[in-house]
Amino acid sequence: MLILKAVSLKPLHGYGVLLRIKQISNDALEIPQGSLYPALYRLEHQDLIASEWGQSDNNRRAKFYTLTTTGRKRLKQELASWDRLATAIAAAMKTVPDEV
Amino acid sequence: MLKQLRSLFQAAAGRHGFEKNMADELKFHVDQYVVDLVRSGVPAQEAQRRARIEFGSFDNVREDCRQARGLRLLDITWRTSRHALRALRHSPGFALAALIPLALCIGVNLTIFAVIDSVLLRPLPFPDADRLVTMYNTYPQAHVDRDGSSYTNYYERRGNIAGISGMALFRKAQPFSVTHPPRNVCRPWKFRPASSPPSEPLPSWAVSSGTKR
Repeated sequence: MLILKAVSLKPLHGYGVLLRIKQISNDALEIPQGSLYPALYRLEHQDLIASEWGQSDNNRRAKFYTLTTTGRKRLKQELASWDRLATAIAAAMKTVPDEV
Repeated sequence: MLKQLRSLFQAAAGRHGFEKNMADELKFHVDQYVVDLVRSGVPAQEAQRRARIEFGSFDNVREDCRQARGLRLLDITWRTSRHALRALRHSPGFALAALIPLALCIGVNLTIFAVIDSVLLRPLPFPDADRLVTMYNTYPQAHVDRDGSSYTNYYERRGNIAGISGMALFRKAQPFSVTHPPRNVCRPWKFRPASSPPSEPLPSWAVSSGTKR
């Protein structure tokens, strides 16, 4: 879900995805570098993201990932189900003895 | 599912390119990380070392990527088949002992199926095939029990025998002249003699055996 969100903002190469996730989570979340690429390959295999070779900022050949239409739909679903889960847990944790 | 098969096929078909691109991509990642580390003040050599350690084993990552793409199964199948072929080549006797029964079994299976298909599964090209009878000419004085009939016989009998709803000629077991059902021949009940209704169900078709010119 985080990867989908990261590439939904702007096409990114793998390293960019890592930095973007770190940045948008205020350094709270960091994906282990080794597991990023298998995840990207899996998402691409599932047609949730697409890749294209292009030029990086320092003019090197890099593979950029973008969100596909299917990926956009999936991101929406994941977001909705995450919202439900987060709301449910937040509500559960706020319960005080009187309410039971 | 289709898209995944396509993605797997593309990766497998352009395997060389796939591997090279993957290696390039991972190298780009580590190099980029080194650049960032150096920029943040880490000495170049230390940055290299740290980047490699944090990334982990290239081989493992590559293997995981292949698996994510569905290539692992292909690789394993390919490796296993090659190993099996090598092993078979080393012991031709064993290979033959395994292959000959296999070939025989497949052959026998095919034959049996062909027979069952033509005898049991495919119905005869007539309606009510279970009520089919074969009609022969008999010449008792010449001691000929079963003989073929002529075209004339066929036209004489067609539509004129009570209890036979239709007729067809055949020669050498090949359908020869089949009117299906003949236009001027009607269903059995039209032929039943009004006076004595038969107790047995009437054969619906007669097949005249063979022809004589």
